[in-house]
Amino acid sequence: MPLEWGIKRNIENSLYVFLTDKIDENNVTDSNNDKILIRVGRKVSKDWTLPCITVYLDDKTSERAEVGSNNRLKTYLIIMDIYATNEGERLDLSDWLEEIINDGFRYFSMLPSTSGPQTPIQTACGLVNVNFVTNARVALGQNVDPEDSHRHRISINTWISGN
Amino acid sequence: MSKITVTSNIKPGELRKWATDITEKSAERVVRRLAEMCEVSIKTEIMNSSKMPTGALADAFFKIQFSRYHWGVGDIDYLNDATPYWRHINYGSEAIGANWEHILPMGHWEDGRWVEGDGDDNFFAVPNTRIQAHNYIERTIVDMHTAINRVISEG
Repeated sequence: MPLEWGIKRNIENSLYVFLTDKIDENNVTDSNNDKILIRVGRKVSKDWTLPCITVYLDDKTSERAEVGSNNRLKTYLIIMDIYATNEGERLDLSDWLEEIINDGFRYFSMLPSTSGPQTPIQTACGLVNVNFVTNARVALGQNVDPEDSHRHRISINTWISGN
Repeated sequence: MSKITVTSNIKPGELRKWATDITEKSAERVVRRLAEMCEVSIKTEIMNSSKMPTGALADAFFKIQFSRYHWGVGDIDYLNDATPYWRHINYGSEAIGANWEHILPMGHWEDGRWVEGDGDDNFFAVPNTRIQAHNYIERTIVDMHTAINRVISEG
């Protein structure tokens, strides 16, 4: 039996599921009527097409909940980079993303399926709550690569509540 | 119904001044301590996330006092001048100085770094891998959320 995914991978993929569903639900498309793609991971591949949104879990903190207890208040820093093709698209996508992520998203515990590796077995286990950390344009100067010229970053600090 | 009367020798206004003094000193201590912790945090995040840290970027971040209750860490003008790559390291990018076709300015590799030049052994290179995002600014902000509670409780 394959090993169940850990919390970090579950959060990343729960966010992927949430955003993909919302894009379908709200019919979020670019100027060519193509759906905006969501990518999980920090590495931008040359074969990715713009516009797209990348999401990944970057860091985790485990503050002690109280003196004398080993209970931890675990929070997870998630980076969401919007790679747009123009400034209008960047602003629209960042507004949309900020709006839909504000109420948090469902946390799924995922078990890889040997018969269908692309469709892991999902069990709803709680809610991922969100605090915004940063929300701004990524300005890298004037002479930058097309992928970097209309970038926006929203970073959120998250924690899981409920079962 | 019985009444309890309390008489104070403190003159009117003295109590308020005393309370204001305590609050001001406490606020001054909290913002200074947060600036110190922020400086340590951002330097640590930079050094920990780099493969071969030289310390130049970490050294470029230091606390600055603007007024009694106003501190900052990271002077953008100074950073742009001393370490112009600070944004690229935080956010990740194709390459510093690469043009729209991903081509670096003419130069050569030296100790793992691209050095610009126009000698016979220099060439135009196309980087295969992006500069990975280190996200040290975001990590520091998250660290500061914890630090705020700790510093206030230090009393």
